[in-house]
Amino acid sequence: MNLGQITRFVGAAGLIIFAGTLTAIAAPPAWVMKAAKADTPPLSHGAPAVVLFDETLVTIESDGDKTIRHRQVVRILNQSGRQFATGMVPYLEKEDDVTTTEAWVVRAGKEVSPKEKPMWIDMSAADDGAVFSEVRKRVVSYNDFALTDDVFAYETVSEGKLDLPQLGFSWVSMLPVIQETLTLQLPPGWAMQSMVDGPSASLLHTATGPQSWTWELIDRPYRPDEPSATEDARTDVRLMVTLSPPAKAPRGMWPVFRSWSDLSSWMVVLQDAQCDSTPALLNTTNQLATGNEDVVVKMRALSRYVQSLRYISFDKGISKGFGYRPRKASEVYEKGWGDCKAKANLLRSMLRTVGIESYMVSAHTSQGRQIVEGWPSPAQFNHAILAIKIDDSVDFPTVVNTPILGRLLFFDATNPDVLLGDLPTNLQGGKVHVVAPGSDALTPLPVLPAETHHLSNRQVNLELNANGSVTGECNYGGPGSSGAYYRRKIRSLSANDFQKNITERINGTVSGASIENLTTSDEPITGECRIKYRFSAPRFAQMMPGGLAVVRLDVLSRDTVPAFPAKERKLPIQLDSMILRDEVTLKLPPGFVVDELPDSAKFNSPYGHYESTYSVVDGSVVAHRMLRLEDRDVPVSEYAVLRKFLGDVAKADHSSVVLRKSD
Amino acid sequence: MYPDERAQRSGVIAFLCLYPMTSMRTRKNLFNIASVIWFKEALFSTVRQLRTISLAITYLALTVSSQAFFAPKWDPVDPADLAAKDSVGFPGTDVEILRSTHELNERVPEVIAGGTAFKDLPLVFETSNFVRAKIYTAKGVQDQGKLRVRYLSSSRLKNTEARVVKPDGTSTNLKKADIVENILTKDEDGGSWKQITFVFPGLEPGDVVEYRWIELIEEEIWLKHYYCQEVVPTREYRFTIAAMTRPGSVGWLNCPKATTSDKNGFTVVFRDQPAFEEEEHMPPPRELRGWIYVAKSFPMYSKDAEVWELLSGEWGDNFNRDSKPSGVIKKKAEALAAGATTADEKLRRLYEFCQKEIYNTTYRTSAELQAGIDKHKEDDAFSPSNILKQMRGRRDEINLLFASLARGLGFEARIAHSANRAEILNVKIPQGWAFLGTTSVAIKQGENWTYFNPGNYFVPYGLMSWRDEGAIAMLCNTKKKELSEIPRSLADQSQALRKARLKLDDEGTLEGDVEESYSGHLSEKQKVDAWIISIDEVNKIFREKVTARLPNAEVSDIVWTNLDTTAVPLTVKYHVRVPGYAELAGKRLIFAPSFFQVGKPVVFAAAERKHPIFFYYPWAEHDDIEIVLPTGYTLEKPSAPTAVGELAGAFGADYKLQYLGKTRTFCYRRDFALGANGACAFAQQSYPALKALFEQLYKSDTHSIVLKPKTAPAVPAASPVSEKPAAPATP
Repeated sequence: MNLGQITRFVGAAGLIIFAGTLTAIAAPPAWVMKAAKADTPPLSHGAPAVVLFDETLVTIESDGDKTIRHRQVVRILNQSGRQFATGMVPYLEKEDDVTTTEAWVVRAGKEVSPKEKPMWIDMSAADDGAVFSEVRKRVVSYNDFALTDDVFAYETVSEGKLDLPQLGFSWVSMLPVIQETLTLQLPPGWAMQSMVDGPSASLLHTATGPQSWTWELIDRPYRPDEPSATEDARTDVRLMVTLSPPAKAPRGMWPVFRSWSDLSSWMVVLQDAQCDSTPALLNTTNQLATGNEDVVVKMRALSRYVQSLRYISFDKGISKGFGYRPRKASEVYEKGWGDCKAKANLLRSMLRTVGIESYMVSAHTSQGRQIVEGWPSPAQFNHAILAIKIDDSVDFPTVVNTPILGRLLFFDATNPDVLLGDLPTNLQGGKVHVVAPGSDALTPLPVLPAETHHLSNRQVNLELNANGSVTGECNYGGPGSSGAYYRRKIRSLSANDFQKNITERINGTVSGASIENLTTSDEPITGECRIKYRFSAPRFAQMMPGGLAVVRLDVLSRDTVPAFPAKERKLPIQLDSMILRDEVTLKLPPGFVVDELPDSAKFNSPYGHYESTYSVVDGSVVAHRMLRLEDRDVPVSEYAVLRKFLGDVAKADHSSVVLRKSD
Repeated sequence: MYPDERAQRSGVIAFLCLYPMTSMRTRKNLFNIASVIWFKEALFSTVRQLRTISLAITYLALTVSSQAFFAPKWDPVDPADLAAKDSVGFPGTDVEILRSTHELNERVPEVIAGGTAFKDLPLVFETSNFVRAKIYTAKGVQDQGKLRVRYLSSSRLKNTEARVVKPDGTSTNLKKADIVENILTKDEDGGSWKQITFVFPGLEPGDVVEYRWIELIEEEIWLKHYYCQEVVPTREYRFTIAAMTRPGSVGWLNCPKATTSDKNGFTVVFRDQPAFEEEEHMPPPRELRGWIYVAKSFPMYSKDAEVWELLSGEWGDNFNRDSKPSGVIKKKAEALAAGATTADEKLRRLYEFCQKEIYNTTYRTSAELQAGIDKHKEDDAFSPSNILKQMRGRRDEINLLFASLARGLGFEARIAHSANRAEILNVKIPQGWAFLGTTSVAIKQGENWTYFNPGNYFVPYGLMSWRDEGAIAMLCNTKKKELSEIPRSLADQSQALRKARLKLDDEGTLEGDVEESYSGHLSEKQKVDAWIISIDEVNKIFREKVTARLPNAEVSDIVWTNLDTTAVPLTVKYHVRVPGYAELAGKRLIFAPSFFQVGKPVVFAAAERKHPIFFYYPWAEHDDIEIVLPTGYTLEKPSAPTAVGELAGAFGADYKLQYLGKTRTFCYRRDFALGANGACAFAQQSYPALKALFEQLYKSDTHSIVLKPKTAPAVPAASPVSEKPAAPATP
């Protein structure tokens, strides 16, 4: 169970853990020794380690106290498996107590330990964007000690308050797992409702006892890393539980969300008061919007302002629900930084100032498509964006007509490279929850058309000299996700590093190329961001005896085309939508004519389309190439079909032309 | 909630702080110092500008800095700096450090200064730091928007203050909430790494940020090193030693334009330092980046030269005592050398015995041995006789056994201490002794010393690790400090021999069997990378390496030989299938026969170069490729790639092509060497010439062969290339 899983497990706010006295356990307990006796199953073939046993016990007391005990037993199967001799427990600082952290190594049926037993290290879980986070973890590592065939086991116990009366748990693992169970124990008078989904949901065994429920999944396979895997490729089952305390819920517990409108009501209270303003903020807002009566122009100006602020998170008060409560808009404005919800909230405040209503929106940055409609819970989200209420005069592909709130323009105020009218690719197609009174359902975000939002147009004009040297001009870019890609590159590199980056790229196909006149353009309305430069190289064409010359036209790298060389596949593939259009023109040197061009090609498949043509126009070779990939999750059973399509593309995707000196 | 945006937010966090590169607690055992410093990540340097200044500030009661330095008021910022839109000295930079001021003090804690003299209480080491930086661009805002200072829990920070100054001169002091403290890691003993983050409010291009803090550490200065060249340009870097409890020295390297002053201690100022940038194939960064060090003399040895001699003598004496051959050792040495007629052959036998027959517990372990290995890990080395008896030992013990065996045959042996070349090349600086963390055995043969390290499991006889060769070693003895360079290997000692037997079909798919063999450093590197992972992972990484240059390559049936043994060569055999390898240009097929080079990135794309070019060792490559061409095709005006440079010189590649018509086999031979004449480090001025050579190499390595359909019945003899090497193409 990894950190992300446990984070989801306890719910968004109800993260975990402790500090406190550690209980000394001298020898491996019986459950370790018992699990260690298990044979290594065939499903472990090729795996570096196998999880023999994984057990999580969640106990809720009538006063809302919560105890989580986690036990895991792993057998190391080879040298690489030593890295899995690691235990970890996450917790919330000052809210949770870690009362037990123990680890053992069993070798040939007996416990062994190094001269100096590894310590459990307490670590911040804050990522680079955070200056502080209450989420911490304790980690122990026996990597240097455990050997092949050893069994590593650990147990952690954490205690805290149950904040959110919901529990989410995922059976997800890269390693093979023989047995993984979750047990929930509730005090008298409490009830619970559960639901499961996922590809192995039907295999989940359930057992119940008095106020006790156990779910168990067995014999799960090894799923190694594979490129372009879907976000939930290793998820077998997801369990979602909603608890119902007696009429008088424990103090401090959040309400039970029985519907999305319940959740809306709670979040509206949490968030609305933060949408404030100050004279300075009003002033800035009005300055940005002044002179622009067009509502779209106003929105564009305000949105770019907010996106340009620094992303910095400060995660405090999580158990109180502050993980869902943005900092006040006035404070974010004054400081000039904030996290996703802070930025969305600031934009909301600014829009309100100019008479535009908007709503906070809960989203997920990578698993939006897996949000479960039937489980209204804030724990399903990890991101905040904004829904701007607009009338019929505003039309963007990111507008969704909702039954209750009408036309909403969805916008991510956090990503500085994705403009108004566009959405980050990872959010497209995901389900979101609009936080507004009465908002009682999820809203699917649109998958934006490839023609306008995932299009990359690349033009190269080459002028070949008789000695094989070349001068040329590259001009490439696009709107939507392509524009965002190039915008990010331009933004994140210094001018010097950007020039270096472009030089390295062109040298990947044209050795010795030097560049000049490097310029960029960024069109705020269409979102088209482009890079343009001239280059020259002393050696480009391969001059052959007898007056022939071979010229490769793929001056711009083709690494955007995915390749799947492996014959077999274990994980489904996430294919992102894209259109790549290349036009390369090669002006021939005097005295040269085309001897032979590549054949034109055309392929279709459920996953994409490929087309290439070559012609000679006014003494120049003109090559066109188009590759379109569809937004699809490709199941393993369809892998061969996708692989064949891309294999055909690879075979046909050539660009060498043969020239000869004319007589 | 909502913290999961790392992909968008993993920007660079600059550390514009006085960031100690080493930290060393007071040590009474002088002889531990070098290794302690070494393992704590030590110094670097090329002696380009080294100055040692005696610090005569003995036990100066320190009252200088704290109050005065951290007066409540900030110095005014020059209006010209506030108004500036771009850097004058470094146009186009996103950020410029206008002033970076750091002051070091070492003093007796106040309670002692107040009159109670407890000799053993630690001293307080204090640094006072101030940085002023100008932000010119939005990227500068992102980079400098939050600045972090990390420190150990044994330290204490105080007077952490910062402010933002707008171009109009108005300023905003950071509030307490804007300076965030965080515990990064904490162990069960209470030791922790902490961090404070200055989060500058309302930061915009044009602003100036200032921040300052004092760090107090309860320790005595022995040797400290700091980078004084940042990753952004610095107009002025000022470093002051205000007080030390004993005389010492301060020195700096790679910092031009230094001025010094002895007023109120010692101050050195560096002006107009450009941003430090890393480049491909350069010496260790620490050879090039500006740094400064402070050392305090030891009570008994006030001069660094004395410390060198002291260490040389102590290490030498210990080694002589520990490696003195016993009767058993002598007997074993004689048995091993029996029949050997030359000194080299005798030493080889000893070396191979120590490396192959003695179980090396630094690299290997087992369920049976682990407890013993673990218990002995920190102990003094066993005697050579004991190692011989147990037939196992650590790396240092195996070296000791080797030395003892060699002495048993009458060879003169010494322990050689050197620095890891990946960290530092030149230790010929006053405090260079602090970096001699690597040991090997030097054996005298005639007038020369030969170096051995059989304790390194993956380095064969006749070679030292690439980290060691070329390093300056101290040949320890009691007579005098004696430095010598560990000889560098030859290109032929690190060879890649690659063989491919492939078949090309008429759709452009290339398929066949491949064998790659590596020796010397090329073998060592791969073995070192592989020994801590499983064979499945080794194969996965290998497949990824192939598909990185040939994205559609299917690699199967991978078999390694000698991957986890001391034997060489390291060999990998595999089957490969590459759809689309050859291009279909109309009726023609076009392909690059250099299977092992196709798809490799070009080296040295950058138009300009700031640093010297440095390869750690010379090497050679020999590719032998045979490709059976599809039936119905014939070669069209084939040409050979242009030879590059000089194979026996610093850089060269030769190509030989041949077509065997009867079997439709196209033969391709490529020989390449870098540093065949021993030169593998080049001055920055050589960059254009070297870049041109690499460009030509790239061009020759991607040289294509064209096949055209036969128009008449197949007559192989009619092929344009006979069974002779093709003539070089017209350049």
